[in-house]
Amino acid sequence: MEETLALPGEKKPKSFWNHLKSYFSNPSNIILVIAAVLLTLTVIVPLIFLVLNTFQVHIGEAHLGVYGSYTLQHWVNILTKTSNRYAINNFWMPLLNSTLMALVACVFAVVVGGANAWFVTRSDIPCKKLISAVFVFPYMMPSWAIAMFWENLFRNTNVGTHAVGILQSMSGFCMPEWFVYGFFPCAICLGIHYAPFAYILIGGILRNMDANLEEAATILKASRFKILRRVTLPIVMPALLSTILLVFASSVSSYTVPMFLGIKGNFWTLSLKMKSLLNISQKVGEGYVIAVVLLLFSVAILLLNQYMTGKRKSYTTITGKSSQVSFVQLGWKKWIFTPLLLLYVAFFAIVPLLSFALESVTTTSGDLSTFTLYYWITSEQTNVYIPNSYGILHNAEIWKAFGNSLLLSVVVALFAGTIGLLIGYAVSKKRGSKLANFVSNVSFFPYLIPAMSFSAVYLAISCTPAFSWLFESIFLLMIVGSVKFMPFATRSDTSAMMQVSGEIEEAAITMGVPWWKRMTKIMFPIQKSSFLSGYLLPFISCMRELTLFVLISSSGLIVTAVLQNYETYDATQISNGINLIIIVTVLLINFLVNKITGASIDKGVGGN
Amino acid sequence: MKHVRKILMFASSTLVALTLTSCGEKPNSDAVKAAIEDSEGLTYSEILEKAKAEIGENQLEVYGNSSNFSLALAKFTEDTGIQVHNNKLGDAAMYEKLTYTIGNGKYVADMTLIQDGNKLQTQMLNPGYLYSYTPKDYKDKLSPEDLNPTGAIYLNKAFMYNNTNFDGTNASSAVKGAVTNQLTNVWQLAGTAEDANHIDGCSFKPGSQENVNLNFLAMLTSPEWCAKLKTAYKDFYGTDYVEEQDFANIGYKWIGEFLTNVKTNNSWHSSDGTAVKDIAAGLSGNMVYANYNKLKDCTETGVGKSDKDNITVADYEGTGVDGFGGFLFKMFTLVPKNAKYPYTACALINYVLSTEGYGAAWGGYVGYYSTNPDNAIAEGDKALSWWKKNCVIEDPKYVSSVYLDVYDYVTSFES
Repeated sequence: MEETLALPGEKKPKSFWNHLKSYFSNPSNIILVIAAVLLTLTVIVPLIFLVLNTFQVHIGEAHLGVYGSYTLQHWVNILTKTSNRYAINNFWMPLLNSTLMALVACVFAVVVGGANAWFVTRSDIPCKKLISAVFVFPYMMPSWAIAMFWENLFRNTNVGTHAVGILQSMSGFCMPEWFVYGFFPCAICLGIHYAPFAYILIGGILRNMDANLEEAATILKASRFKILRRVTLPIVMPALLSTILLVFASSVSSYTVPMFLGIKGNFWTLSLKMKSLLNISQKVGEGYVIAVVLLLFSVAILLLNQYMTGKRKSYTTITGKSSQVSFVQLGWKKWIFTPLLLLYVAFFAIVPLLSFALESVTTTSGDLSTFTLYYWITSEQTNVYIPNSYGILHNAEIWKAFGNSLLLSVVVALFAGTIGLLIGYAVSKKRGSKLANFVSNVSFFPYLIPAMSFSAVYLAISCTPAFSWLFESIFLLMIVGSVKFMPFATRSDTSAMMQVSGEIEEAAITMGVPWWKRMTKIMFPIQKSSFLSGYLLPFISCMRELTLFVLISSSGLIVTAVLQNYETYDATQISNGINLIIIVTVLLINFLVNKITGASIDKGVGGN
Repeated sequence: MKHVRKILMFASSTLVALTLTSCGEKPNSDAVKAAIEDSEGLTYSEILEKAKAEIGENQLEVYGNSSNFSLALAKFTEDTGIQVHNNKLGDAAMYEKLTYTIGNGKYVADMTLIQDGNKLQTQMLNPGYLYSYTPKDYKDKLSPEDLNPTGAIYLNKAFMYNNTNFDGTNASSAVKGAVTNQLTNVWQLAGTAEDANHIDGCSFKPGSQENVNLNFLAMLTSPEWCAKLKTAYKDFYGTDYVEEQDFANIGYKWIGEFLTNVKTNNSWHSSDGTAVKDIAAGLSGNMVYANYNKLKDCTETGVGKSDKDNITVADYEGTGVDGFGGFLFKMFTLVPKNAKYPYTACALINYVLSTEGYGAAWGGYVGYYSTNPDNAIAEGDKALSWWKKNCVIEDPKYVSSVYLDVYDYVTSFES
């Protein structure tokens, strides 16, 4: 064969193109390169913007210099200013508070969600279908709904504004202040809200785990606790770490729960301080510093996640060999655990939902004797301050906004879910490579950027001539929503892909099955429930999201904006009715997906 | 793979350059200024004629933070035939959006109805993003302090308390009006429990969470309000106030002691509307500082229920509250420097001040006051002139000048 000789330093052109061809013949590499470019454009740019804002002088900060110039003063003030204990009150103490709150929320979510997942997938408790279906309700409700429910239940004449709550009115019993407002209720409400994450992610793995592994350990006389510690836990580690990451990042930056339950108990979090500073003309830069710190915090956990999952070579639980699932026989103990689980789901899932429903059909809050369908069926204006505030079923504004939200959520779910699936596949195939690590990490960043800041970046982008066609368009909302909620899909799908052994796909490759067929006929069906979570979680999040879209959409475009308007004017019945519609819609979609595909968020975990 | 990395770096640099370059639409601020100056010499009917010619079949874009405003806009459309689109946003989102869009020369609004004196001064007026317009028909009717920038509507916050003798157990035997003259001097809310008639824990929304409340506290540090606080101090304690090292002035002293009282009693609230309802339904004597117009949300009847008759505005009783009874702040009507339809915006501002416009939206509701004295107040409410005598009044220029110091001080109690 003739050899092409090259002078020193000169590359051989044929070799480069061959290398490129070979590289891009692997679908994983194609996916990773495209994802890397897209993520750089849609995520890195907002990140750069966010970081730049911590050094720039903003329009109301004339005391720091010329508008648009650069300064370190934001960082210096928020981290070190001692007058009036400024840095301690506005940064260090809230940082400690937020961290502790998020840690407790994490522990609660993982313990409760993980335990529920184990009971439903690995034990013989009864009522699995009900527990499985209802356990995910708290995530479908906004986090403030759970906080509001907690306050309405436990507040009493000894605390806060001294209003009588449900527990006091029914029993005369008054819970102490630390239980009603402050650190404890904030952490618990967040834990309740995010426990479904843990349930979905961990349960999806446990469902497919081969029982032979645990049975082998039992034969070798390992105790139940040892089996849990040395067999079960290591296998679910990727899902566990993904859960901790998602729950911690969400909890540490939660705003509405501390706003409802924290302020009244003198409990101040970083998110409260950040929102406050971003809203003060003279302190916007300091608000951005807090946003970056929150982000850095979560990046640290992300790197820890990577380190811990990178240590092991494999998390495979699904192989080419047949596997079986067998249930642990709990015996009499199931009659203790089952009522406890039912009580939990009834109390924190069903009762809040019922309270929304009741609030929308009673004139006086909590008083069933004032039952009325007026706020649903009337053609009259129900609130003097809101034009066209007709009954819900006759209210064109509500239904138009609802249609927009539904369309937006479906598109966001499809986009985010599909990209997440592809990224999950490619990252699991190329685990350990620099490009895979880059894509995996960057795909998670949107989750860590505060929603208001994230949308502010895109507002600024849509103001430029090159992208002015995006300004206030539904396409902008679709892009922003897809990027922001993609982390749900990438995390869930990466964990799921890592469980699947390479030999399954290799067998198909050997048979000459094309890539798209391998994905649709083999990979997707195996981990259907986990992949569907990757579609349903962005859908749920988008349906009830407001902060992310409020800056970049015209008012009244989406149903959560309409809901907020009614809430502002204390139109309690209609705002609760809209809340109910959002939650019922999500449940219906979950049900429809179940009927069409045979899988759902909860059914795939253990409801079959 | 170095090539792939280079491609990525190029793509991201290009996008960063594109997005961070702000060469938006060319602003027509000179034309807007000229239109406003012209309008200031015209009557409403003259401006309306120019407005109709200017806007044709197009829509006027308005940004307001008040739902009531939609009622005025609907009436404006009905009376003039001019279509209006109201973009209702919360204060924070509205300022964010207007700053980015006007700052980048992007047209979004022709007219704004906006509040928060500090943000208005620093973020909109100082950089020249919003222009003020003084309607010729109202120039002599409006007070000088309500011009430049033009204030359209006053709102107020007041100290209010539960006037029943409800102790939490027997609502049926409790009566309304059992408690009177709960608050007669603002120093009852400061000081310590050892002071006579000390009031523990007035429910208050933290200044860091509501800019209007922080503006209120900032105004207390002004020379005018320090003087009034000194008078009230002498009336309460019987001695003249002597300057202390711990406080820059008596305003800071009152702020510090008031917030210490709130914090010690865990009396923060996160929503004025909910707080007013809770106080109305709650125990005898409990006090709240909140929007007066939130009384409209107390629609139940009876003691132990959210009934507006269970609430008394402290300043209404006897000789009122020594010091101040509340806080007055404005919603301003302004025109963005890149408005497309400035004449139409000026016509709308005229309309908001008129009896038809004001009456359609805010007429008849307590807690709203037109700066046009010809517009009637709600039944049972007091005249704007009365509130101006008894309340701290927001001054955007002063508030913005002391905001940093006051914010740092106030947040030292929020920890």
